[in-house]
Amino acid sequence: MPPFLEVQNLQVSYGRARVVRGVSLEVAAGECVALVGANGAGKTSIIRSIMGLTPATGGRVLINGADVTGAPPWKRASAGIGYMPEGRRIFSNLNVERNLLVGAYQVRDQTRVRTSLERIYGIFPRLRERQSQFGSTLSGGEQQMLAIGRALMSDPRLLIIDEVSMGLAPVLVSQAFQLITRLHVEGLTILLVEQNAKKALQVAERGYLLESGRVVLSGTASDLSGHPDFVGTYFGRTCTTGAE
Amino acid sequence: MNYWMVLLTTVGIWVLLALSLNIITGETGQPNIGHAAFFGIGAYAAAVAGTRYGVSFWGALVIAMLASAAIGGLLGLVSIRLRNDFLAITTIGLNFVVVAVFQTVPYFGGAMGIGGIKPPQLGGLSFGPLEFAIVSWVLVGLVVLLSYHLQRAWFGYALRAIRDDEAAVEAMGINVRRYKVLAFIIGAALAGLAGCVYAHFMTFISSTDFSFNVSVTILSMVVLGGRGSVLGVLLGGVLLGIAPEVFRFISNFRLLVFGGILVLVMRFSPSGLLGQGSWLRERFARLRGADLHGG
Repeated sequence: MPPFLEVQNLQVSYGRARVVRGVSLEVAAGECVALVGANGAGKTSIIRSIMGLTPATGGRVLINGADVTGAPPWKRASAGIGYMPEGRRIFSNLNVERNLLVGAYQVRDQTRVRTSLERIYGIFPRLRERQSQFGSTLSGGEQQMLAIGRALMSDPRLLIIDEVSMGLAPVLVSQAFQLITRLHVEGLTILLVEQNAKKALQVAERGYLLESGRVVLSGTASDLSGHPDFVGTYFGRTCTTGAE
Repeated sequence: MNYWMVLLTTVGIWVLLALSLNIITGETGQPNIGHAAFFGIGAYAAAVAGTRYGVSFWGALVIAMLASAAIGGLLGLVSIRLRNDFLAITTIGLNFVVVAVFQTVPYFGGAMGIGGIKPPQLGGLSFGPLEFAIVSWVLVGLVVLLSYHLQRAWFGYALRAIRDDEAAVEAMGINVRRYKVLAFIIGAALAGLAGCVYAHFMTFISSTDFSFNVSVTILSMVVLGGRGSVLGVLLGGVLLGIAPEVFRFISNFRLLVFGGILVLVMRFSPSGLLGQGSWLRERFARLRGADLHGG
């Protein structure tokens, strides 16, 4: 059985700047995988390319064994990927409930939509309290909840979370990672893209460490956390940065 | 009496145009500075159908909507990959091309325009100013209902989300291109509807009736009322629709006044009179004790 998501020798360039240089990774069904690296390592470029939002200049992206490299983003999402983008990117002109409903666009069965909505309100009671408020009026933490909730509304097979800790207070970061753990325990496949590598590897089973658009280390979370290169990257050695 | 009915009909046609542009520009965020092109296509389609082929007003309504929708859809498809600034320029270009075609092609009457368009008949009664006023405002009512329905349906959520963040919408599994083209088709069709009413109301049309100035006026109505707000755009259409009568003494400077209004609104209240976050809307919300609520 092929992994749910497989990235083969992915390359991404912005003009003449090569920001992703032959990255290969895979996420099997039921796994939680972390993609970690310093700011500018190319994490978000990889995810945007997986989602089809940034065109790949080389390599392949396979979802459930099917090559989707040339497919538009909406087709990839329809293949069962939920995506929480970096910076949340909630729809400020829609209220909370309608933001969530846009996330459930692919679900045609209204009963399922209501069930998903109730599930999200169960996970985030704060969103129920704010359901008729415009997205732009929410706090940073609430917007993060909304972005995750919106990505979950389509009942995805794989959830890609880009920088969940970005701009959040430490207590909210801990809550966000607790939620990711809970979702994973419930059986959701997760690809976690994170600058906060320590937190990400506490949650994930496997990980990839990126540096300058290349995977420099991969393995189980515990192997990665204790590896001298990983420690060097995060606690001393200077990284060469590329555009992200 | 007739004066007021004529004014009511004229304002009704402006409001129809503003509401139709609101679907393209207000709801979906696609800049369209050449909306008068669709107005003109509808008017000419109705005029040609009526004068050359003897089609009734009611049949011409459908033909006008279909003709404008077809060109709107085509423009939407062609320009779907364009960035917003290029799309704005493309729509201006379409407006000029359409006016030039009407002005030069003999089939459309050339510089002489098309005259002799017969007023509609209903049960043996020929439409006068009162009937036109009723029909135009019944159509306004229907378009308002349609606009509210769109806002409260999935389609409307998708359009608004596209206005906020296209990439994020696409990542939700929504085919953004299809929705943007659909918005163009619906907006253009409704402008065509207004064009049909206009042609039959005036009984004579010429290319200058659909010039770029008209596009700027329609856009001013949407911006003044508040992009995306049905009630606001209706209000913007009414205010700027009656403005030429109120400011008749400065008719030569009408465009200057509209341009000035656009600049002032963008500077001091980018959300317009009743757009989301506008001062008036916030005041209303507070009065209703429902601050920050909306949709």
